[in-house]
Amino acid sequence: MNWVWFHKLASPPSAYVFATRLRPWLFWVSIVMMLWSGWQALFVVPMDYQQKDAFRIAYVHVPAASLSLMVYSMMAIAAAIGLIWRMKLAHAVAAACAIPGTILTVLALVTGSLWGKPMWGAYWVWDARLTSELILLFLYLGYMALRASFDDISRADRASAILAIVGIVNVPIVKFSVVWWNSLHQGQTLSIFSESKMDASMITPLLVMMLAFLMFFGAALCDGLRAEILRRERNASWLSELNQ
Amino acid sequence: MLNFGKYGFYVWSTYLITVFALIFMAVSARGAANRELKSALRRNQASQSKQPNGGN
Repeated sequence: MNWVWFHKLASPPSAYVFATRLRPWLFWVSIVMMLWSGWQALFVVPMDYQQKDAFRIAYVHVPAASLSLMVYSMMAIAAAIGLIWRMKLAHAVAAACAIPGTILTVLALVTGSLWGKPMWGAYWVWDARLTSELILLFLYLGYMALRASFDDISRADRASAILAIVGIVNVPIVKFSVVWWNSLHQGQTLSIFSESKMDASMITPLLVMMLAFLMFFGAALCDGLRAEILRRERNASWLSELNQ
Repeated sequence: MLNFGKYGFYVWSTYLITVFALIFMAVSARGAANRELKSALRRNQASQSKQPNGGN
């Protein structure tokens, strides 16, 4: 198999052009998918027999929460690649993940609180799942604060990469907290390896919304990556071609 | 159908906050890319005009 195209992507100019071209596709397709699944979630899907209409919150809470973990994992893997193979573009990808990841984590916590109040009677409880998700938010904030504390980008890359890699230990804790400890938070609804607990009419809009969130994040990542590449390639000659 | 009974406040607040969060995510990323692009182009033009032959 010819991997030349893949290796070419690792060069900043190619990655910049690729992100610029990919971004509108990801953005507009995700918007259409979100509108469809949002319509389904609010007006078509039947109410849950236990949670009634409050269950509709799941259609934005679950994608935000699962993506907050996925984005952190991606950030840590990119940071590790950058640290081990000294690949600048990997550090740029990691840096570009931080802001969308933080927004998704805040969204997961806020929507979770709004779901928790009618179900548990409280906006917040110091439950294992909620606390570990809050720690994830602090990890994202710490990552950004650490990056901002260095003037030199390469030093910021190295220091923040170590924090991102160390912080990945929290990801399985968030994921399996409902299994390992007695939790007020409900258990896993979706699983790749076992049959879903949800009816097909309810699960399809949820899966579409999850894919839509992923693509929307992809669009934001493309923009963030473009900004990071431009920040790092200030004096590069290929930038003059953008003028034309 | 649209008010979701006693859960209406929680459901609609969730969706409203989500829309704002997604708009913020898209706008902040787009804004950062545009800002960097403008500054890169400005810097590039300035460095070209400093050259004796105007960068040609």
